[in-house]
Amino acid sequence: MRPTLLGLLRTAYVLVAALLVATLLPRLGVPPRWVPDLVLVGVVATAVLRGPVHGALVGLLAGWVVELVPPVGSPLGLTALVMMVAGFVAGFFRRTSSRSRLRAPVALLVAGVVVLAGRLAAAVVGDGSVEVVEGLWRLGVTVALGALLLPAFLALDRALVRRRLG
Amino acid sequence: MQPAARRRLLVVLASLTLALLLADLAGWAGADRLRSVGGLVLGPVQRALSGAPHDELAAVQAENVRLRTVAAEQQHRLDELGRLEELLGSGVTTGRTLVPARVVATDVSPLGGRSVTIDVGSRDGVRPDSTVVAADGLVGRVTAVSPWTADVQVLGSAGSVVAVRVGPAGTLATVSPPAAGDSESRPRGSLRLTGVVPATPVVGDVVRTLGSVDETPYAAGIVVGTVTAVDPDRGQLTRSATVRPAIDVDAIDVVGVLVPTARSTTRPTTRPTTRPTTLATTGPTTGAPR
Repeated sequence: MRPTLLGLLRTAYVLVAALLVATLLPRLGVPPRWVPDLVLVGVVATAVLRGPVHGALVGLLAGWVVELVPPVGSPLGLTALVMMVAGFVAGFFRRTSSRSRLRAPVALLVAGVVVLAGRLAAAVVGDGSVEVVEGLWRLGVTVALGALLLPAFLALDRALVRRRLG
Repeated sequence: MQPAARRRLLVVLASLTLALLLADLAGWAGADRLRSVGGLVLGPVQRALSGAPHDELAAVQAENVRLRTVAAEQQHRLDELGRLEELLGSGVTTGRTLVPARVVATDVSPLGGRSVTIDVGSRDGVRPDSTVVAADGLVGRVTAVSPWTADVQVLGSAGSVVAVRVGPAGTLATVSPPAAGDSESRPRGSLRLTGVVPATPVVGDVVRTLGSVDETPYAAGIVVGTVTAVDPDRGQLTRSATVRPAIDVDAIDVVGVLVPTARSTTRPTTRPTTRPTTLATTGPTTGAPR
């Protein structure tokens, strides 16, 4: 397996997105509820084109990147597993026949719900606390931004694959 | 990559993640090492991204924090010194030898005992059953001594009974915490005064310690509190009353442990001068025997 341009781009996107979400946006004074989950957008962009298994794999690796960007998550690996499930679920929205523009945002919405549910479940099991309203707000922001970004990502992905770079 | 191989990779990676998650929850030390790796690799990037302050600015800010800490520390010492001065200048300690101390720990036992730990001990000359005073009055007595600390039974804790003199006449009584079978309800934090002799205390009477041999456990003449209410006469032999302690037992900080001083000289006899005497007799000795 040799590295492709698409693979490099994906890795770079996930790294940059994780750093943006963790460091730059809060530093610029963006309130937490307005910070979209950019990594999840990237994972869903891959998952809706390539199916559940690929989506789960990308979600797992991206989740590890998110986990390892300081502040490092606790417990270690929880985000990775939740993102894996989200990518897996988003992968079921792959339809080669349908060309509907709504498919990718809906997949993102479902993946976001999975992530939120994962956080809630962890909070319930671990006796932690989670801001449900803020989580829903972030989900909305993520889906809104994803609706803008996803068509571009999908078009880029398809173009790279067509030129045998993916 | 073949779909089957991809699935196998996913399963392997997911299992690894799950194992790591469980290991972290179980407190495996390697998880912390992995965390520090994340900080080691990505921390500098984050520092650069967030525009960490320049060295000079950072140094000035650090200096600022340090100076603020120093100022707070000085203020704290000044407060403490003020309290010590208050203690040394108060009437309670006039003419007595004492070891100044600070309360370092406090404990309220479920049985009603209230004790504090002070930061002086046997190496500082504190002996068991020494009297402990504050600027306002009696705090309690030392119950246990270790080389560097001592435990003090605070006035009003269960089992503490102080023999006192009440009012200008100095009638004998005892001060104890309100007992469960007390006929009167008393305000929280106040004490119960029980007369030893049939005399009636008056509201406003100052209650002072009676004192004991060698000034242990209680030295004489230290203010305990003030009578705030007298229980109604129900035909009992001796009257009882409510006493408000002179100190705030919840806010004891700087205290003094009285060092008992044995009397070495004999008490001189005195001749009353106010009354013209026709008979050349030796007058009575003044004051109550101590």
